Amino acid sequence: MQFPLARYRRLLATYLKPQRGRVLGLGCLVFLGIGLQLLNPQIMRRFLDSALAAQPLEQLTKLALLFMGIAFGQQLLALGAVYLSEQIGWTATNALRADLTAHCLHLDSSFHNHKTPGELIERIDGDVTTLANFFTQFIIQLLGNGLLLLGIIVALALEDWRVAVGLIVCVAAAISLLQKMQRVGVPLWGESRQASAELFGFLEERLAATEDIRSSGARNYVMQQLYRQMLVLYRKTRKAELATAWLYNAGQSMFIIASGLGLGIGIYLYQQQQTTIGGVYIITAYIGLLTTPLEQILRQIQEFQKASAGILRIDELRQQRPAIVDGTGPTIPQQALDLRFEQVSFGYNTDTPVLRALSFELPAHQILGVLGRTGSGKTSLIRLLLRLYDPHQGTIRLGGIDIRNTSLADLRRSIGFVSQDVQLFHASVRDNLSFFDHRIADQQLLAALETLGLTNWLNSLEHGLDTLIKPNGLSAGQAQLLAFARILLKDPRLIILDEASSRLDPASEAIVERALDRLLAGRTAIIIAHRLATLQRADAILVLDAGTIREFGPRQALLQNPQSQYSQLLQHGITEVFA
Amino acid sequence: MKAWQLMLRLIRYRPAIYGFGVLIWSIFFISPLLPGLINRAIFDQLSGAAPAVFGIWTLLALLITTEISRRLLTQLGTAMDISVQYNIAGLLRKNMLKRILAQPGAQALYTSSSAAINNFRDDVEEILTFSIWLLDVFGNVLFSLIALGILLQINQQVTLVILVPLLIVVSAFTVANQRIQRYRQASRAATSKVSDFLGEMFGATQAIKVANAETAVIGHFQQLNDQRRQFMVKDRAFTALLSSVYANTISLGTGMILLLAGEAMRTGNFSVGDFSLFVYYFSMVTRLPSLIGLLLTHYKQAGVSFQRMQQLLKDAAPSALVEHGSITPDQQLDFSPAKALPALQRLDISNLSYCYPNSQAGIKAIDFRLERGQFVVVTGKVGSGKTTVLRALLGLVPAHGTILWNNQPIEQPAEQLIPPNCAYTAQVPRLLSSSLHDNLSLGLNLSANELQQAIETSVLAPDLQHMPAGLATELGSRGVRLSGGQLQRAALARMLVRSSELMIVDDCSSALDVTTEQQLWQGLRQHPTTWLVVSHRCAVLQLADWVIVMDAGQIAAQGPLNDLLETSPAMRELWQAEPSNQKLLLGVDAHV
Repeated sequence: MQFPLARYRRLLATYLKPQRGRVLGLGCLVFLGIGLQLLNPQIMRRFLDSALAAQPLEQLTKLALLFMGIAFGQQLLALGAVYLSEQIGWTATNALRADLTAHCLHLDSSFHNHKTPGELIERIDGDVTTLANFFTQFIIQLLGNGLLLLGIIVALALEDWRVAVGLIVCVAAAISLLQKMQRVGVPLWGESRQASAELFGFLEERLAATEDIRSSGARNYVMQQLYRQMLVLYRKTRKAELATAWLYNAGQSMFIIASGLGLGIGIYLYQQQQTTIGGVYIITAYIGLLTTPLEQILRQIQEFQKASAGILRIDELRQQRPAIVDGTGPTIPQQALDLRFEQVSFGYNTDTPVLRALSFELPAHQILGVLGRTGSGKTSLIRLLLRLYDPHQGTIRLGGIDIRNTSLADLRRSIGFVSQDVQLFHASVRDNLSFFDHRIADQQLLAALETLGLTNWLNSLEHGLDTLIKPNGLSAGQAQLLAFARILLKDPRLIILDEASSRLDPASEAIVERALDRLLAGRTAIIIAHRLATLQRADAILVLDAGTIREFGPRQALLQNPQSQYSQLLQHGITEVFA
Repeated sequence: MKAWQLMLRLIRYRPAIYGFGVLIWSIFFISPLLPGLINRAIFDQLSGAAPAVFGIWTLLALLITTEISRRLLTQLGTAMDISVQYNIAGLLRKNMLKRILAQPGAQALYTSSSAAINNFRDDVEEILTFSIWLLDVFGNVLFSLIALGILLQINQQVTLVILVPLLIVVSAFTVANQRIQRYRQASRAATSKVSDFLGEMFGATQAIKVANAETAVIGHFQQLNDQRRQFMVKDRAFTALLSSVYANTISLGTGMILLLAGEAMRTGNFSVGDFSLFVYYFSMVTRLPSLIGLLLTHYKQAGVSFQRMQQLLKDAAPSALVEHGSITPDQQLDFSPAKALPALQRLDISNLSYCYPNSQAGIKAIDFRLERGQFVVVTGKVGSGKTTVLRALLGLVPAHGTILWNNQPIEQPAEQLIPPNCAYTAQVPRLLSSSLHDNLSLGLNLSANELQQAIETSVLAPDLQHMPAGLATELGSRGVRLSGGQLQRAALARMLVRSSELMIVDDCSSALDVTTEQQLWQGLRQHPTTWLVVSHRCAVLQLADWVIVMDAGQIAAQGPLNDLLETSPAMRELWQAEPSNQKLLLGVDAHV
């Protein structure tokens, strides 16, 4: 695997810089801990030598207390290091999660149409979590344990150079064995996991096909297949387990030989009277310390490989660019807006046009009712107006300004959109109304609910604005009214309403009608209508058919013309046609 | 049955393998006693505290040999572990699948098939973990007892003074482990809040964009992230605290040995060798309480997993989960095959009823008769109970009623109305991810001729020509590589090769074009057997000798098609609603 190091450095720099102090602190804790780890065997040695030389008891007690103190301090440092590194890791990855989420939210609809929410959760939460270790542990552990390894070897060399040399040879052999373990083990484990995936795939398929299996008289056959699959899994797993175990044990044997060698040299030196009993003890103690840093270093390398895959996927995500370019031009005036479509053509792909050279004009303060069958282009027209997509040709002007020139935020601030299915979050009524914008005061929220006649509903809730809304916990009528309240709070200049096609009960319908009166007052509006009652408030009617205007004109004029589509629709009843 | 009883039954499935595993791991866990003693002898000889029994170099060689032998032991132990796991997991999985296949086929699971996989994977895994832990803890207990005995013999005072208080501390902290569980739950809950909100956000991207609420929504997301960070840090820090307590007991104990042994060593009552032995054993004995604590946690989890797996067994006895039986592919018969009934002359169905659980839907008091060579079609609106009639007849749902095969009662339709007596194609046939050939045969030994005929009759031959590997073509998961129509015809071929007295087909031609459909049904009609078919298609109805019209779970009318068209309003309505007539209806819609 290739490791693009510059990318990692950039990532580390971006997310660790704000926590410089903590990172520095963590480094100090880790290095101090290593020092203490190297120190304690020395104390032990002095203790043994002093005891055997029958030194005063007082001195022995002092050494014993010092040993305990150092061990305790070492644990304290380790604890502090865990705490700090978790804080650093989560703070850094949280920042990365937020950045990635914001980035994805800004990407185009076409991106979201290809990615399921589940996949994005895996990318933003799953992949980033694998990075937590990379942020905190990787460098510190690698450096720390490398230093510890070096420290042990130096400490041993101080006792006797031959011990150090013997040890280096054994450690090198152990490392190469452990690496080989990875090389041999990874493909074998891959096969074992594959067999396991196949077994569960096999089972899932059979569990879904019990009706067919029984009625085909194939139960015994399926059981035999199960036995065969399980046997395959057993053989593959055994092969992988035993191969890794052989190599692991061989590596461990290197350590055994190393400690035997160390002890042997110690005994020899003692017999030559070149060292004390304490000296012999310290050699075995240091060699015993070796296993941990070696295993840590290997583990970090493994973790790093895992994190690398995550980093690559995250980078891939960050490189996605939205096709909708934010405008920097004039802002949209703060008044009721007139709307103009000028020769607008559009399609989701180039060979199937959805809208063809569409032109019409809606004066300020007027309400436009849009009709058309499924696929006639109603939804696309709205999407273009909200700049979820850009037209291939033509211009849309709002308040006289080309909507591609103004900023997206400004455009979307000026337009309020109520869709058929209202998106509610598993959050409080307050957050659902304000879209998590905490700058909106409760007073405003209450006023909006009051305007829409929802005060009684609010009072019926156990915790008022703090009540948790469960998705699907509201009726269609209530959800619709909450969506209206959102729009009132936003106070836009143009309202787009994709009327819910599901029929409301008569009581809710009356409430929604009254609410609509208040919502639309003093604003320009486009309504995709599914009900006759709604059309009656329209000033103009637009009938779309296969992306072109079938009919457009003032409602009254169309009504008086018995030949018009609109008047014919009224006779047939609109819901039946457009359901 | 309690969890330990179930566990015992599992262990006794292959007692020799588990017993051998116990033996090997016990030796492995007890064996550190030796290096401790050898080390002690080495140091005592060096310091002259004890006379030389063996030469010092012999001792060193012995030390290395012991350690290397322990490595070999783990190799053997690993092999035993895998064997134990294969047998226990295999038995559990076999019993679960066997019981599921013994349920009425259309309602075999209490949950979705993908959720049931968790029982086969995670719950089985939990039992395996426990079975291996059991071995480890057993070995460790043995070691600890012997080690304590040895230490007490060397110096009672030091042993008691160090071990008793430390074991109490460690046990207390093992109990505190429950606190970790609480923290873990809190951090898991916080994590699922984060991922749920991510899901909600990306499910409502358009709404967020349009509301211009990106910044505020991200703000909320950051808040949730922050909550998670706090819980996570708490969880991890507490876990670290706990493991540091264990580490500290070891160094504290070592320190205490130093303190207590100082005086004794100075006077020569406590040798360097004794000291090294104490330090060595001590670190291992203190592991015991935490090991036992973990074992108890795993025992609880194993109990929960046993319960979850037993849900799959439905009304079978709990002990069915651990019932002993072969798990090797040795052609044993887990289910006794159906006995061939005499050639079908006539099938009488009377008072057949079934009601779906927790609903009003079902069928009531269905009576009809099939005679040899007849082609009978059951028709009706969506939800009128057509499919349920077939499922009830075949025992794919637990129905009531009388079924007489040549006047002999069929007591267990699910066991008797299967090939070679009766073959069936379901409404949504399921194919499996293997070759087309294996999907058709499902274990039968088919001659090329039999296969060829089934393929011709089911009009699969033209499709087969386009498959490069022919019958060996792999169909992919659930047969995805076939089109809807191909899938249905393959299922028909699967039924035809099980040449049976009675063929039952559920509405399977809806994904076919008109020519293929007609060719298919005319071919099937000529097949010399008795047919019961659910369909609302003209092509099928026109071939019928007898038509049964279902409405709201009951028979609205039955008779020859032409009679019904005259006498039954329900039949006329169905006939007119056929797609061939729908162009007219669409025309009404299109004038807009």
